[in-house]
Amino acid sequence: MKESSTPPSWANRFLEWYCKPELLEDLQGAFFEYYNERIVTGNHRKAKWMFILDVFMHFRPHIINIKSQNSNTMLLGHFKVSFRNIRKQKLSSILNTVGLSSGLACFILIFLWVNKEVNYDTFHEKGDRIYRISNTFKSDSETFSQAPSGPALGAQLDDIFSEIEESARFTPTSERISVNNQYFFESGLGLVDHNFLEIFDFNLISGNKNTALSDPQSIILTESLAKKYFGDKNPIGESVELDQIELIVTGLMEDPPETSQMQFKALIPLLIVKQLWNYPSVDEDWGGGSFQTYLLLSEGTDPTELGKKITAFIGEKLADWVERGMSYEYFLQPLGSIHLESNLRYDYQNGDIRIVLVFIAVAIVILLLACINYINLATANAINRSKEVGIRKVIGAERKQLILQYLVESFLIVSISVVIALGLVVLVLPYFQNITGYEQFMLMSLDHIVYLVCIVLLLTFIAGLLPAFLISKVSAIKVIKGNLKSGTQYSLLRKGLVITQFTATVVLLISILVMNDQVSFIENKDLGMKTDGVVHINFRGHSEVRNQVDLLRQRFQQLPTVNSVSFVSNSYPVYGLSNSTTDVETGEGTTVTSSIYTLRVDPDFSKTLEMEMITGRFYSKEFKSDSAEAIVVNEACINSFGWKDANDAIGKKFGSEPYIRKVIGVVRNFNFEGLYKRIEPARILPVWNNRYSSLLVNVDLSDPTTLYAKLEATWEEMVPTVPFDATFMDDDLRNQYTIVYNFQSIFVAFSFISVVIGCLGLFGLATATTNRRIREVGIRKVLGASVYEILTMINKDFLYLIIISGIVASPVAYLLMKEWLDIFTYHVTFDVLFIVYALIGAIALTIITVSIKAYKTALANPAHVLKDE
Amino acid sequence: MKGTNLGEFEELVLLIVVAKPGEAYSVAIAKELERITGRKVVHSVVHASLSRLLKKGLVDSKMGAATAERGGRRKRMFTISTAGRKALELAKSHRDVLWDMINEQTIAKA
Repeated sequence: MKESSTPPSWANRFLEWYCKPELLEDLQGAFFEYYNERIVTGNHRKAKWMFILDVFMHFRPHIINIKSQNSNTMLLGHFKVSFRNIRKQKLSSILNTVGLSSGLACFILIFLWVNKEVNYDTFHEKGDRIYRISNTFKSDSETFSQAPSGPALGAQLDDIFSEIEESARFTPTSERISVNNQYFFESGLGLVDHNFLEIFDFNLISGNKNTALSDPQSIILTESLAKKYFGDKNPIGESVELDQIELIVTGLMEDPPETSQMQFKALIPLLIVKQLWNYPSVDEDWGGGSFQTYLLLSEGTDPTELGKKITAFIGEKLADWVERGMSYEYFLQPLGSIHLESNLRYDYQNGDIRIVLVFIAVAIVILLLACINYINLATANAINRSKEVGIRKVIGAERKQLILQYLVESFLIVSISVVIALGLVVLVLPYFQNITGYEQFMLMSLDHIVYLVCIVLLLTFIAGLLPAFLISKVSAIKVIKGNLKSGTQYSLLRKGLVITQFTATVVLLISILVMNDQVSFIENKDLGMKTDGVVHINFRGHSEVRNQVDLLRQRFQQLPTVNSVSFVSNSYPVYGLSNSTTDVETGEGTTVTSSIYTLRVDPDFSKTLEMEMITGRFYSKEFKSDSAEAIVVNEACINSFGWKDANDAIGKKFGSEPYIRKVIGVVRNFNFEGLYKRIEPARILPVWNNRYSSLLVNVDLSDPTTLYAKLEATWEEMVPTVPFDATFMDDDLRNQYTIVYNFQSIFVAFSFISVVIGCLGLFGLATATTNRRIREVGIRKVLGASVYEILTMINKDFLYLIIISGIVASPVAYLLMKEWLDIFTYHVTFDVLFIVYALIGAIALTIITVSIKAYKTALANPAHVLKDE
Repeated sequence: MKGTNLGEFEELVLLIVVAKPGEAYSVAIAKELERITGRKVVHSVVHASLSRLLKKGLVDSKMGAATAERGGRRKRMFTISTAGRKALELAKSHRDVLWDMINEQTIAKA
């Protein structure tokens, strides 16, 4: 009972600290009076709580003693002394500043990038009620999820389900546009429903967002496209031609924000496809998947339930599909989650939440490494400062003043580093924009300044608090007596921190090695077809070209460096292919209905892409019957349809009566969808009715520039009204991996920086250690130790720390990298040798870093070192 | 000076200082207020109010005797100043004028 009869002393002390002295006695008395009264009623705990509450309730301006610290002059003194110390310990100050500022620069860059990634599509006011409806398609032979849905969903669902307020479709397309007799191929023309701008908040500069899209023959231009077509002239009311359909410009809008999943250069009413694609039933087709469809739900709708209702509803509409074993299951994705969490077939080029998390981790690790440097250097130098601390204590400094002194010092270093870091960020921002593909980074906003201040304070405490406490603990008497043992102080702490640091370094080194391996694997993987030295010319099916396919082929083949030319129909095996369903004969002779990727090509296709036939033959002009009766399939079909082997495939039937085709050849697997995805069954068909859309040209790459010019000149001469849109296939392929390459290059850069930071810290630590052991080294030399032996001795201390780090780091790196490699369907296996390489690398780095300093010490003349004694 | 006007709460506090001479210190005033008004009165509010009154020169204060239940600490005792008394009288006179008006009206109606 007795022990609890006093109020909590810390609260009392807090009161004494903040209260004006002239008010203290009365207030304290009052609280004690209350306290004793409450104790009488019996509940000690409550009385204590009430006491604390009283103390905090009185923490008010008229009671607080603003000058209680008398700190204005004192703080100034701290700053002065800190500046002197920073200048005096030049080496460790520079190491700290370099480490912290580069760490902070990385942190800021990563922050900017993450800020973009997590803020996709947040600018739509109704965004929390907007969902994309996507589906999982199931058939007898396969299951896959895709982002777009059949066109009727977007057209009709809002009339059928009362909980759907609005629905709208979005389809990016590329078409030929002509303005004043100039022809352009524009990709990223957004075909949208008339209510698109009522659901989504894209900023219209002029035009009425409710009516601008109501006439199918209208177009809203973005600023950049308007500038390209009309310069600074007001584009409203001007006309442009979309593949011979005249459209009137009814609106001008800002370019969509970078953080919009939908990117477009212009918006065109979707109903134009009735004419443009000759697709009059665009509002009636429930099946298929070609339109991104968004739903605006009314408040409080359960998206999962709605998805089930829609699945059931469409199941009835597509009863004949269901009979053939095919079905769609619909699900709703919240708009805000799509960029980071959705990875479906025919999806946008989305980000990946895992990559974002990895970068956040890297940012934190880099900052921590820099902090650890600071702590290590500060405690290593503690011995030099202990005399200062001792004297200060003798003169009468309190411990809290010493702690404050050290915190001020770390605050100064962190602040200087932040300024340098901001400078660094501004310097590298252009490269960073290039790598990340984001142009607009908001560098300075009120939020960011607040964050920055928080980070400065946080770092000040993380880095400064521990050394401050440890160093200020030093007993004055010991210091004055000279009893302080040098070297062993806090060595356990330092060792722990060095191990942490090196663990991070080794993990990063291993990651760099694995990533390089995977990227070179991607670059060098045999895709089953020729990709370098293939030019793809996309004319998007324009009749001017289609009418003279043979002539063009002839003209191109006359060019000296052209090997072969192949015309294809929407079948460029880089960006992925469309798929459709067909009946296939299985190994047992039964028939399944299956969706299958489809290429439509001319007979020169396999020659042009240098594909290998496993068995049978490719199409040939000599066999007239090929165009209606033959089919070529890829290797993946063999397993998928249960055929015995490649030879068994020959003669297998595709399609239903009367349009049966028989397999005439099997082509070796080729990656038509990049290495993210497994190679699925694909069929290769002849082009129907001359419907070519692009051509592939196999060329010798001896002089690409001249070649390109020749191709272009021939093209301009033959078809002046169709823009020459040619790309090299390997470039297109590489573009597919932009995300991987970017991820890798950023990761390598940041890892490199953190390794450098680690080395800086090690160098500082080695300096401090050798400085302390300078006399020992001298004596050893006098007794006959060689320079080599001394280097070994100093290095040994660090090396065994690294071995421990390696043991900790290897499994961590292994797990992390396994996770990363799993993003790719085709990937390298984790090579244990990488761990060995990374360890050797880390050891080499350590020996070099430590020896730079130790070597100087080892060379020093013992006479100079020892004469002090 | 804005501050010579009396707030409602300040007026109550000041009245208690007058009504309980020799017992007017923060804790006692808070308790008395609680008893009279029947509402919860927090010490910090009384303390703040007393500080304001002191600043306005409406009360004087000096340290009183120490007691055991206060852990041997002295209380700050408050007494009303001349200005304080004037302020109280002024406030009362305003009220009296208004009440007279009200009473006359009730009589006229009756």
